[in-house]
Amino acid sequence: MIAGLDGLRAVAFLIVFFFHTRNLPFGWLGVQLFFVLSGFLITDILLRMKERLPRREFFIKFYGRRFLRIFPLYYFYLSLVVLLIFLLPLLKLNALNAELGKGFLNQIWVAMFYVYDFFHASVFFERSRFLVHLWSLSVEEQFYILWPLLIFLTPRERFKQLCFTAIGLGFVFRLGITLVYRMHLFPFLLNDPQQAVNVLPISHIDAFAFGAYISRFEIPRPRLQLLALIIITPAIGLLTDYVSKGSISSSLGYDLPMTGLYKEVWGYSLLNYLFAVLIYCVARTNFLTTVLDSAPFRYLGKISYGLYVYHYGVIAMCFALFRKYDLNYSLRSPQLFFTAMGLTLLIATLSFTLLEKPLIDLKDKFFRTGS
Amino acid sequence: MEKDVLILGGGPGGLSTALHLQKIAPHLANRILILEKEHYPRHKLCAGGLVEDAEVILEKLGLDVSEVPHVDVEQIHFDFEGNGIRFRVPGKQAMRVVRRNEFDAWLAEKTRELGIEIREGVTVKSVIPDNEGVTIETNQGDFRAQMVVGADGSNGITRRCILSNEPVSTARVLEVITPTQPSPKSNGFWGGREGVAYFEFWPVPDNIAGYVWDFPTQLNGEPMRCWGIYDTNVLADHSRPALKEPLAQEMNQHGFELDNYEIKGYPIRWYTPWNTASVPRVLLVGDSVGADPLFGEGISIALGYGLVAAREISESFRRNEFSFNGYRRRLARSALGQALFARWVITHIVYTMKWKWFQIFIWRICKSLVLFGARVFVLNWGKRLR
Repeated sequence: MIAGLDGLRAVAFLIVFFFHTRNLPFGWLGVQLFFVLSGFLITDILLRMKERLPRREFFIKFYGRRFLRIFPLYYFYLSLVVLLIFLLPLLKLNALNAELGKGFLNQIWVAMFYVYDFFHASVFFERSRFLVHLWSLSVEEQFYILWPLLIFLTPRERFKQLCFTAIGLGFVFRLGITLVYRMHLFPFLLNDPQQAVNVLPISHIDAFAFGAYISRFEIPRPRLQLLALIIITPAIGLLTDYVSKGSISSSLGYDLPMTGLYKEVWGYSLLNYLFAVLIYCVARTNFLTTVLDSAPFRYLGKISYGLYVYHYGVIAMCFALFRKYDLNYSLRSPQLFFTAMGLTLLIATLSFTLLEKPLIDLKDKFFRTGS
Repeated sequence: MEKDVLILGGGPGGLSTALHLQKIAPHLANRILILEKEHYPRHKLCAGGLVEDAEVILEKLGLDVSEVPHVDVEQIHFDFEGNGIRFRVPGKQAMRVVRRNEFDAWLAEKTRELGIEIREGVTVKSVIPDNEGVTIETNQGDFRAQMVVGADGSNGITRRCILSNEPVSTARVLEVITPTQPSPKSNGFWGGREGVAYFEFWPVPDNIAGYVWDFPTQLNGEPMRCWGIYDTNVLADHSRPALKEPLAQEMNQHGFELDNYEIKGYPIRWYTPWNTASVPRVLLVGDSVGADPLFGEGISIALGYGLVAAREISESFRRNEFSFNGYRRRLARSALGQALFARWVITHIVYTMKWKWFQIFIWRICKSLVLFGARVFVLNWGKRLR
């Protein structure tokens, strides 16, 4: 394991958590960081496996490992949500009762088949306080299906081309999606082009490709580039925000979804590039590893999958519980933040020790890759 | 007289705000009061073009605009010197033209049917916000409200009271209503023009940053033509002819003599991303924030403002906080704001590149590209507005 990457996962989760408690308007970028990070790690694993393992075992071992890591926790969470359908009326959480309409059960089916991202980009979408965040996991899983095939089929010397093509295609796909949605070409398309770009998997193919690229190739002067990008990205965001909206805001121009001057098309390219350079700096030049490789960050990173899956529902439950007892704390209040964070940590820790850890051990037992 | 939401102006902007507010926050419906200066049906200078976005928004409110007397426009021409783009909507009219006295009266009636109070004949003299609410002085005594929606148009009193010194971008418009024939004797000439609306951009090289229009319309059921000229003033620092000349020239080409008809002029304030849209306790909607700069279109835009404002208002009442800090941003991020921004950008391209070859290039050579761009940037925002 490369030092610091678990810490980056922790950071990604934390800023998403800040976002979902309305404390950091651009915190959704954590999900984007997760995507680039996945591209980096998965490509690294895949290329190693391709070099070492016989062809037959390549897919079995990769999918076997992913299967054991991803599915149990995900379906455990979904069963918890199903349980909630019966529990919520008993708990009398008025703030959540509207949740349990007819659409809710359908949404669980959608989530079960890992197609929440497509559902999110259609007119049938309705916001659910327990399931919306699963769109990003759908994007990840769909990437896990496609990417091993591409890696397997691409000869080693063509790998660089594959990355560049995918990076270019990300931009092209986003442009295509936004045009198709803006023209309302089909009646089932979500009436929000920017949101559709954000949740559809093909918009993020370049995020994974950026990660893949830095897993094998070097980039020149990474720290200087990172410094430049950390200045340029918010500057461009604020400038475009001022030009298109007449004002600037604490989101630095990166609201969810991104609007103004076609930011939903080019904005992701810039952000993915920034995150790729950041990951490269951490992984290859030990940038900030004293912090990111410290014990708390390492631990948070290790359980980050659970943290991400549980936190959204926990925030909703905490909010509803407060309301039930007439504690009018807003979503962004410190009271809610710390309660929800504490509960999420507790649940994710329990889930990691009791559910995930045994299965991770199992995956190393059955699908040893030799690395 | 104490109300929660006082809407100043009973045009599409104000009525749409009330209608959307009634839908989003029904508990506020009987706490809304709309003040209208005139008595319905009152005259209003406006060409009265209703594009599809307006109909989409009204449909979502459960209203059918075809109840209002109107003329269907099957085809819209965007021409440069008589030749250019033909715009149609398959299976539908491209645009409807209504008379504003009839349209506004109809919308007001629909608003009243939902239990929202409208008072006619009230002239507002001043709007004074303070920390607790807003005081409105009128010719019928003082009103007091939690908050005010300024829906009183391009030169409305609300804006003048709260933002007296803000620089604004205003377009000039002249409008003339004529019979369909220059004289009863000349027949045949208008054959085929009944269902066609014309936008003619030939004055652009003469420093008129706009167009001359010619719409079919109706007056008391009688078919008429509505002519006019629109100038955004983005070329105001160049020397240019008075607006009357190009309009007279265009009408002359079709056998009409401008001097035989009554000319009316009015200003249109248009949207830029920096137009102030609110101060604490006072929100602006419709033309008083800004209409579409590209065509001076205001009706559908005002209907759209209503929805965005209603969301802002209902949230303010929920939080019991009326600074309206986030209103301009909410507006800019909405589908309406995105379309207005696109139109604002396009305005500065199309009307400042005043060379003849460029205008020919846009309207005659890039036809399909322009139509595609129009579908993506300029139109269809009504469906996306939430």
